Amino acid sequence: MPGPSSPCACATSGIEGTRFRCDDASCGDLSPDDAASRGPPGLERRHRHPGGGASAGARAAPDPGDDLRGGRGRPLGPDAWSASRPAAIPCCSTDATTRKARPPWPRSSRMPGSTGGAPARLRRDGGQGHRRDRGNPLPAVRSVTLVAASSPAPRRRRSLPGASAPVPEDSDGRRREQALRDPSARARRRPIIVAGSLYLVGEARAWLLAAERTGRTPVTTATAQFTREHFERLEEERLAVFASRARGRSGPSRSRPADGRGHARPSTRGIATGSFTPRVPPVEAQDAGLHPLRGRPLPHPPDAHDRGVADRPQRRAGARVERGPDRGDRARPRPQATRPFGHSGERVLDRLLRASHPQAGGFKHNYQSVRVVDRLEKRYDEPGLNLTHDVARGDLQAHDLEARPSHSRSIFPRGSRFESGGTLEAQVVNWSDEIAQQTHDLEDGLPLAQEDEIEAPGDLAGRPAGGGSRTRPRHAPRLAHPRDDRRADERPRRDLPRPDRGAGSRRTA
Amino acid sequence: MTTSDAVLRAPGTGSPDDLVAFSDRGRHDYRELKEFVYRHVIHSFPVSRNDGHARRVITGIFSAYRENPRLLPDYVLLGLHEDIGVRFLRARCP
Repeated sequence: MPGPSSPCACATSGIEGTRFRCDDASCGDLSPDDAASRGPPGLERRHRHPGGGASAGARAAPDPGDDLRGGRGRPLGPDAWSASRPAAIPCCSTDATTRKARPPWPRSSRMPGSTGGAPARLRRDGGQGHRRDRGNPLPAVRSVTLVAASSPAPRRRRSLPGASAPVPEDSDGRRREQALRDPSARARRRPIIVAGSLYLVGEARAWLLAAERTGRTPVTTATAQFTREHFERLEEERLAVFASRARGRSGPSRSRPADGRGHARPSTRGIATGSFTPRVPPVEAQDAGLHPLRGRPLPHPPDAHDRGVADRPQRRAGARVERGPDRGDRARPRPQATRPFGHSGERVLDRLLRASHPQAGGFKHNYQSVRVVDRLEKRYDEPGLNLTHDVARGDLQAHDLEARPSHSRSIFPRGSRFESGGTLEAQVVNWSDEIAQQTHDLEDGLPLAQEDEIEAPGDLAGRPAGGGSRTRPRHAPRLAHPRDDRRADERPRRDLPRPDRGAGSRRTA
Repeated sequence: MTTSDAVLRAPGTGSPDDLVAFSDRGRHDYRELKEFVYRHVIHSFPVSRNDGHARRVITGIFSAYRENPRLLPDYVLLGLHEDIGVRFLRARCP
């Protein structure tokens, strides 16, 4: 292992750092000591080799501009490596006491022109990418090791995003995944750990290392290649015959690194991106009746559009187009870029942009969604999420891309027309989203009825709406809010005769 | 299914691009629901009032950022610096 001041074995090829094993077999930048401390073979976090032969784990390899970008920015290509990197670079030094690798630059100099610390928000992802549940390193990993062991599992089985690989069937034909969910089967059969190597951390990793060290537990490892062909094969096996598949779908026209990830991602990726992720207080705050920005009680129910019915998380693992977004995932995008102001904010931004920057082409959330997945998100070597045209088309919907010259750099070929409804899945989701939007808008508007802001159904036909606070006739019944969990007989019935003064008694009075 | 089948059998069509659609009854109900929502919820007084607040807030934020871009978060300035090459506004003027 290189000493604190000596360059590592990769220094000749321009790689700094000894924390990760290089994919190149000829590059021995990880000593056996380190390899032993990192677990079984294939479980190390790999990094990109500058020679281009192996490319994986682009995040692990710092580039010269990292100090300007807080450690993670747009990665550079092989040419940029050789052109911009000086010949002699101090390698990562190792603290003898803690044995933790330190970057060669001081922690306080990551920001250009600054002497202060480097807060996480300096990163391009706004400091969100470091969260384990946000990052999705799976596509950046060339090979992920599946670990199957026939011994007791750790106490808590982690939910691992890398566990989407096929699991071999047992002799009785039942999938082991199903067996894991079945308590009785779990008792009969030893659990299996299926994990991507990047996620094999903490307790599961410690258990596996201990099992391997003692040798009493047989540990079986297998490697699956997460390539486009792999996902296409899964789609052939699992999707319905009518489903749209990634096979044959086109992707961005720009070149992609030959890292085994294929040309473009099919629609099977969930998007846990900074741009689509959580709605800041809105959901909780609005449910609690608080203003999303000020934390004060809302004077009235939130704007129906601001609720973003499609934003309600439907976070099951599945095709992106089947989700609502947040995620981000949507066939029918909502103007999240202007949340919590919704369509109103979108219209205002469009007007302001057209007035101040006419060349920008205004603002429309559909185009902004495509821009996010195409350019703004930085998850791979190149900007964008590497989605197929079909998925991005779901964001764009029926809007013509050519109408926005500012988006001419988008992933779609020039001249693409999008008048149609897209794939069958996108059409189904579009209509489902339309129905859900109207329904939730209606639900959001029901409290208005309790505030006398809306007329009763009996008067809807001929009277104008929203005319004031007293448009409801005194005799019209109030609409009960669906969230009112009181029983109907417990709700105030101010519009009905009192029990002690029924119609008969009133008539006789 | 009936509507989709009709779309497929209609002369001159047959494209699956607009295959998923409402039936006549469903389309009528959907339009009625949408008309109701727009008339009594979206265009109602409290929602319109909230929209007005939103317009004022966004206009103020846009003006503030336009007049003084240093009010933008650091990662946004870094992104601008990387993507379109504008000077990193936190740094000292050369």
